[in-house]
Amino acid sequence: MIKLPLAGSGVSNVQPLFTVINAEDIYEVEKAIGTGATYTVIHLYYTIEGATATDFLRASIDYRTQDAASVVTDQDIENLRNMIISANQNPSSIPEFALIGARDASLATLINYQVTDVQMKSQNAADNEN
Amino acid sequence: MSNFIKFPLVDNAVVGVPLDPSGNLNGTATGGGTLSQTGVTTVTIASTSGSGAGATISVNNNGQLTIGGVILTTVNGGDDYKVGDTITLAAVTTGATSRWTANIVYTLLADDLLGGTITRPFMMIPIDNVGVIKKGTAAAIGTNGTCEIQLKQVNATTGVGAAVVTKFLVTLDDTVALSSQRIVAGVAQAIAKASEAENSVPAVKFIGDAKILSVQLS
Repeated sequence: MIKLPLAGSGVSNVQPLFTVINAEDIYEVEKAIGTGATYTVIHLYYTIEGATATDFLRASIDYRTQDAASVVTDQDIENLRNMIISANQNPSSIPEFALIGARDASLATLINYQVTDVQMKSQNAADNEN
Repeated sequence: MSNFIKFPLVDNAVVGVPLDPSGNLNGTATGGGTLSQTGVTTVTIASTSGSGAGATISVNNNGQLTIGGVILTTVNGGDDYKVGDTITLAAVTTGATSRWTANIVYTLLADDLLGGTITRPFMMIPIDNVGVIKKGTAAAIGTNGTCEIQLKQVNATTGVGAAVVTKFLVTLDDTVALSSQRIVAGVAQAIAKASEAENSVPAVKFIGDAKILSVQLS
């Protein structure tokens, strides 16, 4: 499991409550475009078969800023990959994943680096040739 | 072996049980209109105020012409009946045994049920296969809050997207106001605890001590 800060859940943006995602069976992590043309979503692809041939399960992590500026960077993806490995090495640990941008965000903009929702879907498998 | 979390059910929800087939119903029936004939007439319960189904009751007016002397006996217990459920026996106006011209109405007592009143304080949910917790609706006074515990599993052989993902739909009671984020956070906290300490079986504790109406797998 990995913890993610939930936007609007705590008494203030600096003290969010958390949601969790399952870090087992993930084979690919990628950033994705949200409702605007900006990277505000992270996709986690699981090795678990979906309902239709060639489909697999995918978790989508939606960040607070859905159509303003990008908040997910390539370095975030690499950090999350490493955290997934680390979480699986220590199954009883539940590390907290935070986007890099949260580090320098102001009190007002911190919420943009927090998760607004997560959901599971059955989708085409990710390109995992890299 | 599964790793579980527990959801607190509102008011220690009462479990539906069969009627006790070993004897007569212990309370007093009403209605029935005009009674005639004598002997046992067995009928299926026509309707109930609860979710119980399948029970059959024998009616013996015992030679009486009013409802006060009628003996009701459970023949087949059916299932899912609860204390306070009102059962209705439709009028029987033909036949050689006991007849009554209007519906007989009876309210179930604890002694009428097999095992009496059985309560269930919590629902248990296995978390080994949990993928994510999806936000649902906020809870408010008069509005049931929800969230979905989505599993790493599909429930169909065709289709794409979220519709084919297996999930537990968690529905909260409508007596505590709670944002959709805080509902998710309450569930996530318990899952995190269970993951950190396997087999500790933590209970979900929502802010405001909100309770659960139901958890349904779909």
